Amino acid sequence: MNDEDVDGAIAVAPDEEAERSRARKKWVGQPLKRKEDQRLLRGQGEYLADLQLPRMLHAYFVRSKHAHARLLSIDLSAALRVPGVVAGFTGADLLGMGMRELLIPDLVPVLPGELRVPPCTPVAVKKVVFHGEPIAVLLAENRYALEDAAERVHVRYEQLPVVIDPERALEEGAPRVYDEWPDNVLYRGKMGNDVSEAFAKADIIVEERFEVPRTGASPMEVRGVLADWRDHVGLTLRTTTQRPHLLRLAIAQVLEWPEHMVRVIAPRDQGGSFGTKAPLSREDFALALIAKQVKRPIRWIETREESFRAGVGQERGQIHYMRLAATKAGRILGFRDRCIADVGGGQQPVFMGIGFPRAGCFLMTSFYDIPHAQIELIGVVTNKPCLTPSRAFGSLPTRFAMDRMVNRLARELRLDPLEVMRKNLITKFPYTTATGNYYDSGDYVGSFDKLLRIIDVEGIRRKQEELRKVGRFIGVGFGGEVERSGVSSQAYVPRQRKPGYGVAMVKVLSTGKVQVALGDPPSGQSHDTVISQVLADEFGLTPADIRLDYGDTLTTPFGIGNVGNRMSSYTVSAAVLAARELKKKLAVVAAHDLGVRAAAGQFEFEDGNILWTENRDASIPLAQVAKHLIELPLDLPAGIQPGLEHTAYYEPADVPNMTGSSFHAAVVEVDPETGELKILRYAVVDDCGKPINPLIVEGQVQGGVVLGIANSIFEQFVYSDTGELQNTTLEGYLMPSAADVPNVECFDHNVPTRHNPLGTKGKGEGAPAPVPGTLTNAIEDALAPFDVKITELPLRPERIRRAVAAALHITDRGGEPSPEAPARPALEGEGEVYELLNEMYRLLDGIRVSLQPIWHPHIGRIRAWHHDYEQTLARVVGSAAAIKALTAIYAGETESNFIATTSPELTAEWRRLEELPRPDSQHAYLEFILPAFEAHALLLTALSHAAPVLQ
Amino acid sequence: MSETHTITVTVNGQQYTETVPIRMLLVDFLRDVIALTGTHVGCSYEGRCGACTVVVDDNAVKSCMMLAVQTDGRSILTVEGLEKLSAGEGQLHPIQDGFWERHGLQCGFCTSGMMMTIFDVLKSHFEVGEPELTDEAIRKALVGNICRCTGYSHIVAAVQTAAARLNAMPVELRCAHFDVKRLQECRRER
Amino acid sequence: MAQMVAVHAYHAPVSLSECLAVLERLGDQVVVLAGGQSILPLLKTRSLRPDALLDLANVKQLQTQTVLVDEGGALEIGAMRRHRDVWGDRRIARDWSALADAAAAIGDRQIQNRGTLGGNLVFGTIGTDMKQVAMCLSARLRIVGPAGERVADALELFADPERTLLAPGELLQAVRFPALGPRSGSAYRKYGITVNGRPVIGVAAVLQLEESGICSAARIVVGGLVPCPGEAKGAAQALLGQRPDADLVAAAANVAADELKLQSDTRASSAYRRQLIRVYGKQVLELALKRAREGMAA
Repeated sequence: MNDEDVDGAIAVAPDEEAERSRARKKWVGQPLKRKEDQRLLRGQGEYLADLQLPRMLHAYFVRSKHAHARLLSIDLSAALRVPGVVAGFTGADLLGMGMRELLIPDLVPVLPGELRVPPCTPVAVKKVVFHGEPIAVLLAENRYALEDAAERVHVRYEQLPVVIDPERALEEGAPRVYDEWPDNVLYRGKMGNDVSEAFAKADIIVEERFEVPRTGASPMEVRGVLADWRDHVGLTLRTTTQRPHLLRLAIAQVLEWPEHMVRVIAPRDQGGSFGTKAPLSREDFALALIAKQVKRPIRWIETREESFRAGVGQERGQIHYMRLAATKAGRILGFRDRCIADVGGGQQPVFMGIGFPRAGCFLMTSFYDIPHAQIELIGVVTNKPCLTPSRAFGSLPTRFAMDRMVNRLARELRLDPLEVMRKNLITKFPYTTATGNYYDSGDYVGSFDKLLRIIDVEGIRRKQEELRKVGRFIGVGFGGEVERSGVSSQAYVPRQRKPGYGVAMVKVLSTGKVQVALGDPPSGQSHDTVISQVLADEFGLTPADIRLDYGDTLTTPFGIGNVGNRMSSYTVSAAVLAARELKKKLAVVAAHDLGVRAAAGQFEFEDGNILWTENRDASIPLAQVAKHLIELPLDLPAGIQPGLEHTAYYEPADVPNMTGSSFHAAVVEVDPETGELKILRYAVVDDCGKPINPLIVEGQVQGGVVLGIANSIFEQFVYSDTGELQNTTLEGYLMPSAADVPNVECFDHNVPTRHNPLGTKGKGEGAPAPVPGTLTNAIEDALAPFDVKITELPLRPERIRRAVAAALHITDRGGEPSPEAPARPALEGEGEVYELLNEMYRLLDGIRVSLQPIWHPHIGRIRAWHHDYEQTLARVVGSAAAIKALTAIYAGETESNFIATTSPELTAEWRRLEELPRPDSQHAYLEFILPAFEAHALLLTALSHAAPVLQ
Repeated sequence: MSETHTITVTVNGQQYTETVPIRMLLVDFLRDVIALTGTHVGCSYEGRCGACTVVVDDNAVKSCMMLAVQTDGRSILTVEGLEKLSAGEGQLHPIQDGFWERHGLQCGFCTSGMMMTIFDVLKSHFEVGEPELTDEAIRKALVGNICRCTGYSHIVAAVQTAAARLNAMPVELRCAHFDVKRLQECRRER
Repeated sequence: MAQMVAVHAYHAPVSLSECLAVLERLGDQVVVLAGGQSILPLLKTRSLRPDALLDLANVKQLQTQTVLVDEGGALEIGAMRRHRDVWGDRRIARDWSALADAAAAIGDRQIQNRGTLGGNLVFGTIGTDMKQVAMCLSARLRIVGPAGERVADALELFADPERTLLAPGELLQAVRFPALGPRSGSAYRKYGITVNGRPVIGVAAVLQLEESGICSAARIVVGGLVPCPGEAKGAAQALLGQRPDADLVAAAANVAADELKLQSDTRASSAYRRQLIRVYGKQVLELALKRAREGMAA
């Protein structure tokens, strides 16, 4: 390998390349192959689902099948009779066992403005506010028994009106998610400064509404918990989490258990997290309680469907009403924004669904020098799971709105969007934004110009002209972001009452090897390699000499969590400080052992030796000094204690945060006939201060951008009007594969920060955020001859085609998409009987909807419809009152009239199916639809028999 | 009639005879019965994510889309067996090496399944010349494996690196890297 | 839900007659596994609750592939041939290209390694690629059952949503694709939102040219539609007797888009489906035409 290979990002192996590194004296900055890969590539990872304990039970969460309902009763008796089932607990049972309200003051953010705290227990007791909310827990010896039992749980609900659309939720008279609240507003607050002057001076004011649906990160590994209680030892909770220490503290606080009796362990390997494992899960608390009760280990691994229904990976979900004021030269003077965030139930500790929309708004001005901004943020509760954080942390929708808005401005002014963007770049650092965000460093003009050169805008413009002549449409678009490299205590303590420091415990062993313990566990971010490279340089060792452990609250220092770009800025800096503390001690002892009079600062650490810089022949192996301090603690210099351990904390001394950035460009081709989009190039110029391992940085950028592409073009969580998630599978959610996404060209333009030892800034969090704006800007550029306007995501071809058609005033012949069947008017009447009957018809409609052709993504849903329908039907047939009511409604009408009046379409469908020859058993669609119709026929028979009796 | 069935399967060269429920999925057999947890479950058995991909009789299949009883008499290669097909003790298979060198994995959860699909892809490339190894063709061959960390580019690069390394080998040595039957024979010889 | 219900028996016989015997004995208590790639999710979500499973994997008789010289070079493919075998076959790729196109576009490599031609045709979803191709290529389906063997016509059968392929106790044994004749070309393409996603629309086309270049036969079938794939007869008519060029195939695709009844559903509006058929129809016809012309040159 030669140097060119290194620049071409061919990785370097620690053993092979040790020699070369020695010549350079540096591991930091090398594209080293990862240490963690050795186990992962051999299938030797230790993920949560790989862990088992003797006598372990399996847990299953029974979840609400309605988006908004009172729980009248939960009958677990039939479930408990299934062989292998050990126990079952409803919310009421758990209350008796010490379950408490989850959102205690310590777990609620402190935000300027009004914040309401929703009621929430780990398992719902009286009421559910979203479909999928946990309502009971079953335990069994194996998963087969669990699922056999889960089918036999009988729940009675009193359904309540559902509100799904956040803007509808704000309207007067909308159903209320929380009875005790006067409206559906969880949070209302403002940020920014006065914008009146900006608007008064403006030559032009541009207005637009932007909407970004719920999408997010959904890692490949779903959540899981392994809870184990031992009397006199306490709880050991292994769980998929980014913040074990916070979880430990929260369990102790919420359940009122002594903190030292709670041990939370994040597994050595986690299959991705991207923010989704940052909140504290309700399931953790419930299983902690239950483990204590049953005194056997309990493992719960959620299913993908469960994960989606519980809201994992459901982020974004913002609507923005923007007004932007500018000069006619394209200089932005200020803007107003009203952001409506659909926070769902808001029942999640720490963020409550609002923390990250707020962070997104806080960063909204981004890399633009905008002196005035005023943002109103409204967090609205709806009957959906709580909005949960995902990579980009609230910024994807705000970046979309802002970068699109600047593009709109340019088009209104008939200026080149590039010029407008460039004209408004921040040029001086440090910089404080209109919302009060502090940027310590950067060179945005340099980054942007580098990107322009890479993309060759003039070349693209020429090609664009040529291609347009032959009816092909390419375009180029730009976007970017500023991201915080972690957040310091200055910002965290007032908002979350939690610290922002980075912390690392470093220990030099007697043989000169080094052991590091971090509180915050990684989930793919390469901590092991990164820390090893950094400490190898500090101690003059090789990365193979360093061992990293993390995530066990018993053996690692308290950390806020592996969130928000903290690792390579805060945590790495803490490790460096700890190492330097130890080096001072080593140097003092080395001087003593060498018998030289030298200050600690006069020593260097190289190739396992400690050298005196004044006379490099005066050198002693690090291991020898370590042995002296640890094993042979005699004859130590005055004031030196034995041992070589140090825990260091790091915060930037005088600034609230350090900031990295990235600028994105996309070249796309759009087929105006179909709206199909081809990303021809996607390039990023990135600033992470100083890359510790450029290969890993590039991995973060590639992965982040592709997540952004997935969220922008394909993914969207779709809810029905009744609050049921319509796509509960990866296929239904349209998670893209390698064939759906492009390569990302990664470049850097780094500006080290002055506020930490290595000049490093974090990387990974922000990368998805600029993608939707960049792509949409490129699409609009490509389709400029049609003058299309796109303000919503996802950028599915049908949406683009419709924008083209709208711009051309063409209507493609045919109907609109019909995600839902038309609602059946409710049977009129009051009381439980009518609710039961209406429920039956609602379910029947659901089955009918699922007769639509593409039912595979909805398998879970059809099953649920069918199962519930049968149960409800049994109750109808078994209820004299229900039969009587039905008979009264349709008194005197014949059976066929009865069906015809309830649903002519259904009758036709039913008749058609009835007349079919008995299908073969492969014919799955009929296999489970037919019985439902047969059941319906049974009901009618029951009615016809009952009618004369009742009359 | 019984709800269980006794099967004999060869996994990574080792023969197992086990009595399993008919309803047991192959992935559960691998993970829970014979404790090979390198094969992962990412979509809870929907069959989309591909993290559970293993090679059954030379073909990559999703082990959540097959029942354990369906593998009776068959030979299975999982991620744990890949290394055994390398040129020597302690060495990684070129596919594993490619992933290591090009940073083709981050959290590692999808990696096992990804590599097993690639095993099938490269085997078929070297045997019948298809698929061609353009980046586009590699991406298309990997439609059945979802990764949420890498953005896929480094995985494509990993495949290219592995292919180049295999391509540079003498034919016999290259074939040995795909010869699953060899594992069983090695065992017998010992 | 991720675990299927308890199943009492698993049958994996080696002969077709044993399979039929199992079917006769267990009736609708049994679920048949071909490739299982569509059935397993239904079993796991408990949408299907069989008492027994009948696995056809060991029946060699269902895995054959033969060119029938007596039948004018027709191709007979056993129901249990995997998609991988179909697209991997050079002869199929050359002479029945639409079939190879479709097999390579189903799901993903792992699914293609398990999924079978027969299973895809028998399974009752319209999110399939093979039905429209079987119709387009005038496939004949050989079905065996207690009453012996019968043959069904794909074009007729799949165009009638009221009919199921199999009666109780029957199995699909093989699918026969007639030889397309000289100077023919066929092709299949779909739009599935993601690459290889289930078809929002899937267009199969075949056409034959006379030596003069005049189109003497054509068929276009579009899948992804409710309740069943639709044959665009008007579009075929537009091509017959003409010398196809880019404009003509575009016009034919437009006819197809206009003549078919299209639904709106969660994945696309009928308007967008129409637009897709225009564009994909044109591409597919162009490809089929190109392949037919390659046949002329040969």
